[in-house]
This record gives sequence, structure tokens and C-alpha cells, in this order.
Amino acid sequence: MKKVLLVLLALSALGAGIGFYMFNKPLTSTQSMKTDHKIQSNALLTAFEENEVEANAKYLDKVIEMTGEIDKVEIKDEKTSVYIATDNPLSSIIFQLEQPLEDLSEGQVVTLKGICTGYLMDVVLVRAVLIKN
Amino acid sequence: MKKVIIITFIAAFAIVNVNAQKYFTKTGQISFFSSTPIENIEAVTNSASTVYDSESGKIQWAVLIKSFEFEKALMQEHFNENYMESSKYPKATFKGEIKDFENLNLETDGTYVVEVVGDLTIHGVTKPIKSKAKFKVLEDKITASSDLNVLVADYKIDVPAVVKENIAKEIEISIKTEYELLDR
Repeated sequence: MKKVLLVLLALSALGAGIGFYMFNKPLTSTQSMKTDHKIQSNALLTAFEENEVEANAKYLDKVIEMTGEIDKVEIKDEKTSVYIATDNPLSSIIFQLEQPLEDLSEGQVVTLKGICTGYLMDVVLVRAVLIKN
Repeated sequence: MKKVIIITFIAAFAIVNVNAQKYFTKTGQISFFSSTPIENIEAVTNSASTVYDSESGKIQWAVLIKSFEFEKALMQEHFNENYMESSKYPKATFKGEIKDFENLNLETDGTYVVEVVGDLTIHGVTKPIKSKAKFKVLEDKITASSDLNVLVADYKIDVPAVVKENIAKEIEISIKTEYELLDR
């Protein structure tokens, strides 16, 4: 009987431990996440422009990897936003970086990976990381 | 004589439109805060979009719900999947105007406190709201900020009974942004 109680106690403690860990787990870095879609900027933008509902179903919360030319870099309050050019002069793919990065510039071709949050005037990806310059 | 009339007309039109500018950003910051004795919950996004038209006084905001980041992964998951249903309602928007916008001169240094009224849509539900906003203009840099409280229940956000005590009935929202002139 005692043994059964001890085992139950151990299991409860384990359960509580797992629960505590899960509850307090911070967001995982995108660097360690597997890419869901490798896609060009025009293809991603077109998908949202043509059918936002379908594009949301396909891309929201997914890890997107993209190689493209930087149209603009914006650094505000230590947040770096990289705008990847598309054929539409009014819309870009915006990658908001996980960590601030200062040595990026317009015209540079980079590969970025980020999590898609949807479409406003641009397609917005957050928690983004630089894969390579 | 015709030429004089045409030139006068064009000049008058130009004068009327000299202050008609659009200001915008795609990296506005919106954070929200829920405080209860059990726990505090906060999240922030830095990818809100906003446009202000100084000719009409109209102002608009749009933010992607999935862009809000929490400290804890589980909180973010619950927020998106259970409360905000962000796959169904991916955006929150505000469409309104600045009252007395003629007194808001974004080309002259100063601090301007204005009242903003309009429709706030969260979780597919639209409610009229009213809020004060502060614009600070200093040497071509325009910053704006506003704080407002919203009731969770107003936007049909269902909080399960088991966590009712963890989430405040009224959420504090803080908006902070820099506006840039939209180049024509």
C-alpha cells in the first residue's frame, strides 16, 4: 500500500513539475524552429492579396523562410523591422526581428525566417531571424 | 483674363491643400495589460499600422492579433486560440477621427492633446469608443500616445470559468507610435 502511495505521489510531483514547466515556458526562438514554407516575396504577397482567408489558413502561425532584397530597414525602440521588396511599390513583406540588428542595409539580399501573423498593408512576420546575408 | 482666372483657381486650390497631409507608420506599438490578484498578463506588438489624414481628421489603426507577444508561450496560445479566436478574427481595427483636428498642427513643434472618437472592432465586434491622445511634435519627429480601457465582455470574449479570476474584466491598452509623412 505504501509503495502505491509513494508511486502516486511521485507521479503527482512529476505531473506538477511538467505543468509548472509548461505554464512558465517562454516563447521558443524561431532559430530552432523548422521552416514550414520557403517562398518568394511576390508569391506570399499575391496569396494574401488574392484570397486573404485562404492565405490566412495556409500561412498564419507558420514559419516562413524567404530570400529577398531589402527595401528598407527601420529601427525603433530597439526593434528592427526589415522590409523585403515585392513588385508592388505599396506593399512589402515585413520581418520584425527577434533581436535588434544594425548592419543591414537597403539593397542587401538576405534570407530571413519568421512567423506569419497576417496581412495589413503588407504581410507581417514576427520573431524573425537572419539566416544568412 | 482667362489665364489670370485659371492661375488664381490653381493657387487657391494649392493653398487649401497645403496642409493636407497623410501621416502613417507600420511599426506602431500597442500593449495591453490585465491585472488581477492572481496574476498580471501583458503583451505587446510593434507592428500595428496607422494612418492619419490631416485634411479630414480621419485616423485609422489596424493590428494583427497574432503579432502580440507574451512572456509565456502558453498564455500566447490561450490568448489566440481560446479568447481572441485569432484564426477567425485575425485583426483588430479602429476607424475614427480626431475632434478639433484643425488645432492639431503636425508641422509646428508642440504638444497637442486631442480627443479621438470612432469604432473599435475586436473579435468581430464593433463598439464606439472615445479616448484622449497626445501628439508631440519636435523638429519633424511626431510621436503619439493614447491609453484606453476596454471591457472584455463588450467584445464577446469568452473567458472560461476556471481562469475567470486570472483575467481582468477591464484591460488597459497603451498605444505609442511615431508618425511619418507619407510621401506623395
